[in-house]
Amino acid sequence: MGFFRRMVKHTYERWHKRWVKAHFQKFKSFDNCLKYNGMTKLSNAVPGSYKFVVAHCGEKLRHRLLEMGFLPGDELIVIENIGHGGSIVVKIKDARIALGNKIADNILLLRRK
Amino acid sequence: MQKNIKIKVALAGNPNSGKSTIFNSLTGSNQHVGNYPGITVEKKEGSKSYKGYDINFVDLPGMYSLSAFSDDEAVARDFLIKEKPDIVIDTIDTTNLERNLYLFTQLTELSVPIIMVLNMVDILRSQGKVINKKAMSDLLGVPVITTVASRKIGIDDILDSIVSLFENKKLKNQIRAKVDFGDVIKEQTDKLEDLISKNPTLSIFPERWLAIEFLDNGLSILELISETNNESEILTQLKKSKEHIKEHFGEKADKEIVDRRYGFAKSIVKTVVKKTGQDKVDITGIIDSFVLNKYLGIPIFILVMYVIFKFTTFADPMANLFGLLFKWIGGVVVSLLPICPVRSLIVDGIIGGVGGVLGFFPMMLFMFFAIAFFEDSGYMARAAFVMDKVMSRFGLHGKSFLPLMLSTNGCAVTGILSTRTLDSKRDRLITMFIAPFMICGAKLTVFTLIIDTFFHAKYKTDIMVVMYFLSIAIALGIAKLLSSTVLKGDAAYFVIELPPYHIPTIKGLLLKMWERGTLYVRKAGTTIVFASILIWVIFAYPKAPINENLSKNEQVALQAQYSFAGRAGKILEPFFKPIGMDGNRAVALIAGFAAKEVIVSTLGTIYAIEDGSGENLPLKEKIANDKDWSALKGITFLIFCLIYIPCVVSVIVFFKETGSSYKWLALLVIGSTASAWIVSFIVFQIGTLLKY
Repeated sequence: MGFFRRMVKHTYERWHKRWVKAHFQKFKSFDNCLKYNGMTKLSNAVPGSYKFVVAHCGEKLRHRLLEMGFLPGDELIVIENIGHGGSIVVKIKDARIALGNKIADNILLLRRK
Repeated sequence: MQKNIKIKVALAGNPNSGKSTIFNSLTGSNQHVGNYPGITVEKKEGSKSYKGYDINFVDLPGMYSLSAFSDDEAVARDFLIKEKPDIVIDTIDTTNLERNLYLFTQLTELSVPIIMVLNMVDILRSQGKVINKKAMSDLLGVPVITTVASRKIGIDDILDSIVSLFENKKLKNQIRAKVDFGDVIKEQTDKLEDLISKNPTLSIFPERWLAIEFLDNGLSILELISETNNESEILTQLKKSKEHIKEHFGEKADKEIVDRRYGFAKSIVKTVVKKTGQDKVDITGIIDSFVLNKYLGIPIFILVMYVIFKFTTFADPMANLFGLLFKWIGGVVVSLLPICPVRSLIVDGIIGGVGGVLGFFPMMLFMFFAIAFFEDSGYMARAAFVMDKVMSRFGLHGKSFLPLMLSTNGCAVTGILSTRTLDSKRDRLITMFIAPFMICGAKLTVFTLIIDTFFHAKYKTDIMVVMYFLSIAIALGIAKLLSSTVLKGDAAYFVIELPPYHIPTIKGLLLKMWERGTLYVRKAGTTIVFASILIWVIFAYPKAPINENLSKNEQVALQAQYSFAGRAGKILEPFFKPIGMDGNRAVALIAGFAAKEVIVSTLGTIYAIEDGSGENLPLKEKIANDKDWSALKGITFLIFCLIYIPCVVSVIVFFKETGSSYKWLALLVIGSTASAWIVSFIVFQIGTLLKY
């Protein structure tokens, strides 16, 4: 029985690997994958208009960002991005908010057509 | 005369909504700053008599919401809930109406009478938009007042409306529009409300608000739960409700609640704000495109720092005036009193000591004024933004930069107290630890004296600038050291709001300057008077035996050796020899623990006594003539000064602000003194080897 289970697991892992490779090989990196899907990290965003998607961070900060108006789907304008580990200024709900690079790395945006 | 009726009014609002400006114009100079018991958050109170009422205003810290994220917000929330003010004024930045209304939706649930103040309507008008005050008031059921706080427009309306709202009991609890959370959430909150009303500790809070707050992830609210009776019941119900909401909406409960609140705010904005004209030029946007620019940001920052330092030099004439004033007082005392120990105590001890200290008080005030100007105009938030990249390399937060700025040329005590704006405890601790290592106004007097003495006028400024950079390098080095050893981890995430630029009011600036300056004056008033007397005593006693054969000079020299200070210096000399200092300087440095400016006055006393030649040379020349000093020794002395134990007041404040932690106190006191000795030893020995 143990042998059978191991066989199934092995086969599944093999197929899973192939599936991942087939689907993601065109993206050389995570950033590229985002780009292909019309998304970007806030830390890489060039100034312009975006839609806020999600922030991956601790519960406390997530809640704070929510209250400051970072609602999924809302418009967000990137005003200035210093780049290379610098901070980013965005405009959301008529307020200008500066975000450090570390948090900006965990925020995903959707580019507006 | 009958006693006035008191009205307790709390001012709540988002940060940067002009709350302090409104508070200042409501109360005038009739203010008082204290602390909330137990926590290190400032409590600003002020009062005003109006139409036979004593209106008591409390300026709450700025907050984005009632589910407190930082200490400041927790204080504001607890005040609103526990102290139950008669009226709450919700200050709203009209240019950012939607976000500011979010807090309003939470306040309405507290069931306190609210007056809504729409501030900065002039800026809204310049954006080509008009707000319908009447419609808003009808819609929400609260009095709505428009103001331009910076120009004092509408301040009387606020007072009128406070009085009329207080007199008309009917008007209270008349809030019409509340956020509708929908049937699904309502069902869950009803269940929670039921449980809460059975609980004696929790039922003091508005039930509906508390139920929603529980669902809305109010983190510090969850702490309240532990002390209740039917806690487990509430917790299980809460868990169930949260799961139910998540199942229903496919989102977390708090997201759904915030969404509803913002939806409500959005619909209000849509109905009351009308766009009539064209958008005029967005000044904030234009300035920001330079100030926050990738390439221009740092040069502009340096320029601003230069302007601030340049501005402080304008204080020199005033400082001279202060000096003359104290000289005059000394003269008056001399002419009034006969020769006796009391006269000596007053003239040499108190007036000499305190006068020397207050000599640079004007400079400090100018510094605080300049900083307040850039703070109120909105630049300081940008400076934090520009500096964040540099600061995060040393394990600091962008906001740490303001306390360091206040310590430079200002006072470390003010700097340490201003770290309260930092959210994370770790960032605060590091910033408080390094603030005393900056060149504060007091240390500056020592630096100017020594540099003036040993260096050519041409290089003076260069060496001073080098010293400033050295102090910054030392402070940042210590920060790096702390963040990579004792306080591992990253600085808290950097999220701050950049307020729109505006021209600050003179009154606001002066109040801010005075608030910070008085922290220093209090120190001068107590510690330094005491220290001056002590130093006078250790130099004047015990009296040397009077020997008729000795000349006056020799008598004075004998006294210097005979006094407590002279004897202590002799004993301590071996410790200070390897870093090129004699007993006198050792005594001066030890006296400097009382306050750094005392170093100069102690040196003055020593040389006044030792010299005794009758000719009244300035201290500078006396030091230059002394063979035991040299340029190298001067520099070593300064470096030692820079790093060794901070003055007693900053140490005490540091101790209190760290929550009475003896560990940190020991690290600051022993660590700094030991490293000061080591660094000056290295500098002095290398210098001697190179035969400077």
